[in-house]
Amino acid sequence: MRYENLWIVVSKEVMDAVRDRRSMMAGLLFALLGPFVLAAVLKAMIASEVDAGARPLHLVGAAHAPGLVRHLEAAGVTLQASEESPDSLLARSPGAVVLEVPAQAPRALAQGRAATLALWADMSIDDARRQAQRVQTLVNAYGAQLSGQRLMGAGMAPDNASALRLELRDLGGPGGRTALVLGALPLFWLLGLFVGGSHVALDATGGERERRSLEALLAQPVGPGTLFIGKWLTASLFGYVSSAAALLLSVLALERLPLYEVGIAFAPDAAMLAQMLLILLPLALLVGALQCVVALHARTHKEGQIYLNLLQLAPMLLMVEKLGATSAPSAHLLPMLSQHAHLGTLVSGGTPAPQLLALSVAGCIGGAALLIAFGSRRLGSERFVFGL
Amino acid sequence: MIVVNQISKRFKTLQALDQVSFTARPGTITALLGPNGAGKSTCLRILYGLLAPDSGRVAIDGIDVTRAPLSARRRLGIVTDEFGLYERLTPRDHLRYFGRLHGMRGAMLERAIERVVQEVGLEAEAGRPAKGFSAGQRIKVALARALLHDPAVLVLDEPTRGLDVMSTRAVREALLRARGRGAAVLLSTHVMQEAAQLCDQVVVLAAGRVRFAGTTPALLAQTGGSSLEQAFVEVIGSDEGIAA
Repeated sequence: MRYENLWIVVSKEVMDAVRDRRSMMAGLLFALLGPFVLAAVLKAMIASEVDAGARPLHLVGAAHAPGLVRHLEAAGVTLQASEESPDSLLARSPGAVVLEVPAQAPRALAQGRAATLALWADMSIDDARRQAQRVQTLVNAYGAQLSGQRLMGAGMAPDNASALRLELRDLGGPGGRTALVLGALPLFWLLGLFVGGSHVALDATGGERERRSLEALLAQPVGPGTLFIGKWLTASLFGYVSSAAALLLSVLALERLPLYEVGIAFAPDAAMLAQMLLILLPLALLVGALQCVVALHARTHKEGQIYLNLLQLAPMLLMVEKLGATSAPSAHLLPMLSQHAHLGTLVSGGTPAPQLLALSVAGCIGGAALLIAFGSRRLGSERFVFGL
Repeated sequence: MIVVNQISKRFKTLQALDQVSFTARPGTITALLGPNGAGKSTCLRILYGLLAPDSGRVAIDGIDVTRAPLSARRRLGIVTDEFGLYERLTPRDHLRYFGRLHGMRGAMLERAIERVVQEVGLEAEAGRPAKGFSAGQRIKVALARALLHDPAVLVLDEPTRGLDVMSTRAVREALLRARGRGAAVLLSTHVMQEAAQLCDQVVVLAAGRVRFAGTTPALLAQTGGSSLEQAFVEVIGSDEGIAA
């Protein structure tokens, strides 16, 4: 193969693809839309989580329960004493949470009976539900503390009244939901690979057949392998640029979000970005090859578009199947699943194992090589070219 | 020079070419004449190496097309049966791309582009994207592309099909100029008038076999026909698929 001819083919395909402004912008915009939407969702979630911590708890009848007030304040709850009835308070601000201490509560407690408090909240509102659950836990803990004191006064160990104790150990941390959404980022970068090069692959392969320019091209002094590789490199380049743009835009957008307020440290440095871009590169080559082979078999633009749109759904597979720490190392030969796992590791601050990275590169390059050999053979086959 | 020696090609049950032989010499225009389905396009596709013959040999300037298709194609200027253009590329972009694939570079390439643009009369459209080009403008781009590297052999598959009078005339003039430069021109057609006006020799192909190869006067003499059309009908034994 003459590398000079390869360069000639690539430069023509790039020029042709860049002039197709509408398709190029549509591909790029679609790839960039994901990170934009995700950043907006994250911004709203952070605001909501930060807000949930600082939301005041309306306390009606605070004067009847000074001990409870001290307990709640010690737990970091911002209290707002109110004399208004819970009904009217909630009617005025629907997301509020109101704790009502009835006037008879102190007497009930003094007589050794149970005092009934009321917690008013609209549990269909996320923020209100989370705040109400927290207040419930705190009030129950305070109740258990009072019961313990009574038992001790009666000469019994407090544990007699509580045989079981359940402690919730929240692994999610305060920004748990935000971290979950952040984990979806690599999915958008992978989607960029599929979206960005799709129109280029279609135009450069199936397009040649549809516009009837293939025969004249194949009759030039250039081998079918050189032509296919040139087209594959161009499609891969556009997919990769689109994915890289989505990645860089995500980082730029996330840098502007106050992720630290929910306890998440996401500040990729240049080395990490370079690692992410390197992880995506072999997959870009594989996706480009797959798109070129698929589009080569389309007789019309429309048919090719249907095939490639179906192919764009491939990253959705990651919603049902993922590689985890317990996956066999050989599973990293699986393209996309492996890159997704490595990117996820990097996003969450880890370092992918070099041997697993090597496997994921091998899987992609091996797959791409097979597809290129197949595509080149097809372009060189008289049966295929002339539909014999 | 083109030497076609005993080539045969079969597609499943159809014998498309059967022991076809002929020669197209430098400085001459040879018509490959035949009704639709005679095997003309198959023959030309074997000539530029896109189809492999089952048997026989084709040589372009002494180079075996089957063994060294790329070397043979460097000596060929081709207007294929289908000449779709890249709609976002201008004729100059097309010529630059195909010229570079033929190894042309820099000022030499640019000079050649300007030469063929003038030769086929594409000056007005040369800088405009090919989207919306008429059939005449498209064939001019395809012809300019074939002439760009000043090939020793020019092969054209029904180049005037569907063209108006002016475009047909432009194609004919370009072919006569190529002959004047010493190129061996092979043109497939089923238009009698074109063959009679332009060509130094004709190869009549019917049902995959050569029925006649020689000059038009020789064809007339052999058949005793008064016109080429009559002679053609005599040779192929049918008047199906020909045009005056």
